[in-house]
Amino acid sequence: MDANRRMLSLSDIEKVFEWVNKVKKFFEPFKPEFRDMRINYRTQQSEMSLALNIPNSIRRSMNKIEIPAYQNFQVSEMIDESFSKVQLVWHFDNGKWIMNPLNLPASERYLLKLRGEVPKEIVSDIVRIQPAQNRDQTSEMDKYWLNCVITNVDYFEKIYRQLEVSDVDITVRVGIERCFSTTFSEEFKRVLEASQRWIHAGHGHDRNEIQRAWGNLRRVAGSSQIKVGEITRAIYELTVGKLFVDYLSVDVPYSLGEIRREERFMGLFPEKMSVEATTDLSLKRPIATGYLTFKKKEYTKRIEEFLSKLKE
Amino acid sequence: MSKVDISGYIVPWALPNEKMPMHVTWSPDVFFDEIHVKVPPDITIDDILNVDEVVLREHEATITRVKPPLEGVPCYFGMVVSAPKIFQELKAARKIEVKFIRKEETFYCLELYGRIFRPSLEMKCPSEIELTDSLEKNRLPLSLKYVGFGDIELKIEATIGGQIVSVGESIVYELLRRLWLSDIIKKEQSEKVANQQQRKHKDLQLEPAYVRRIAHELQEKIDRGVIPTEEIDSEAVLELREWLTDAKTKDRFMEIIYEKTEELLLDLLVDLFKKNPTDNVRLTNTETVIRTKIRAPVTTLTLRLLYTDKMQNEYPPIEKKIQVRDKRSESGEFIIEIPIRIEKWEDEPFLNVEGMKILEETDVGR
Repeated sequence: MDANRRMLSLSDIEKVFEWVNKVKKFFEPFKPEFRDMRINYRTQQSEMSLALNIPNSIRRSMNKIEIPAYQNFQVSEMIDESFSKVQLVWHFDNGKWIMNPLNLPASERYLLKLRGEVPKEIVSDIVRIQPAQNRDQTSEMDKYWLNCVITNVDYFEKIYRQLEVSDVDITVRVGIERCFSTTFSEEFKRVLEASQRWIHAGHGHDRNEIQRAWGNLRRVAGSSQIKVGEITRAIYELTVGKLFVDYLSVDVPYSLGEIRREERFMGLFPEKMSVEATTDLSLKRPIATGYLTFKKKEYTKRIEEFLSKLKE
Repeated sequence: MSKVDISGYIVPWALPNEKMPMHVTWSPDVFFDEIHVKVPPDITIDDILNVDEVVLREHEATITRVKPPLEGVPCYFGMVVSAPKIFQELKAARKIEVKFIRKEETFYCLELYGRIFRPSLEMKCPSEIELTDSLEKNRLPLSLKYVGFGDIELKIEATIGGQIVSVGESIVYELLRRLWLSDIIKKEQSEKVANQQQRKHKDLQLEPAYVRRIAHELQEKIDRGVIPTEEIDSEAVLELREWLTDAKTKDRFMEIIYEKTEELLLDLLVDLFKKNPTDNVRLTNTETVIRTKIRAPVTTLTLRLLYTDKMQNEYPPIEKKIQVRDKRSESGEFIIEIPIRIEKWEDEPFLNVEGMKILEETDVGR
């Protein structure tokens, strides 16, 4: 079996969602019905909707409802049949969620949204995610396959009839080092290396080497001065997520999530960009396949434009 | 028989040891007793998803009960397979057979192909080199060629009589070492010399705000204990770490950083270029130097190229024996440095492996 995945059992799931059934019992007079079950992969929170029927006759005969906050569940929202939010009817006191049915507006049907936490290991057992380790390349672009699947639809079908796992995110490390190193012309690299040699010579005591290095630098650089700070600032600007996103695309049903530089020592020259591709899975669509594409040729062109400005 | 609505998918490429997820879907009106999955002997089944009952053997799986059809939910099972060994071929396709069985008869057979790719390196180098008194001319030139698929990290190593005699030079390490040394040297040097050194820098200009930002970033990283340790040997790491975490050093360090920012930036930039000589190869060390005493007139040196892919698969190293002829007038007791220079790189990566046809896929008979 896959070392990354434990075998998830029905009882594991039931344990995590024990609170749901306990809470449901409190609403039995209102004929509770599960409407949907949503797990957010990123935040590891579950949210479920319970449809309730609270006719006036029952309402008057009942005192307040008090439900202990099993497994720290939360009441997040209550909506009436006109789809308006019911304000200020629930409050949390001394470890209990409390509601007085008499305070409800004139409506019979309600949707109650409840929120709970799902342990990380359970979330990652419910869904199996994997990006390609290595890109497939052409001269224009680099491509990575993406694969997400619900490992067992049964657990949720049996209990809740519905399941949606939202914000399932796959992180792909997109290599960009070559886009930079090919763009810097050989001439430019020689100038950089010559400057490096000259500065290093400056720290030594070999006067001849200082002379030689200086001569070398003048020869390769002519009268131009290297503005290393500007080059590094350009690299910094070119690896900002807001700019980099223009050179990425993902296939439906994926969308792009967070994009950030993977910083090496000093955080100056990122060699990789960390890109998140996000999708939603559900019982109706338990599998998501597709590609993340990095348009490296266009990106390299952008770098060239940036650098040509520096040389002016 | 009417058309059977069964389809399958497997990811289009993988490296050796990389998990290849696949799945098979069918419409609810497909009735069967079992599904048999068979993979070749060099492929393993690592996981099966969304099934009720399965008998799993190393290269075979018999699914005896799948999930009963649910309204609006597609019928599917998932599987994860991998190739645990490194193949000789740079591209290989392995057939995965999925048979749907009813009343002990196969009524549908689906074939999916796990497509495994690998990189390969070729090396050309002289079979002998001569050491002369002209130290600058003593070097070992290499010509390398990359073919296949998968980005690699390459390490070059030289041995004499089984002993490693090469040293990997890392610029990042070098710059840290230089900062460290310059702190020590500075304490010993007179003001005069220090001033002279500072004057030499004045031609390179950096915006003060930019320098401040870099210094601040670096300071933060030092405070968090993030220093590049992978390329430095453990003893040096300890010394450096001690030096870096010393409160007094920190102030001194910042001063040095301010003085030398442009040098650091240049170093890192040059390091970036040198470490990535081609699109698919990254060098562990920017430069490798043979540093040893050559005592005999003819010494046999073994050059080894070790490379790994993104899955950390280690490929069989490339080895070559090189005769080192010592023609120096005075030899023996001096340590000699012979830089290993990659003078030519050829890069022939597979492009668009997704669309690439592999022999096994085309000559399959049912």
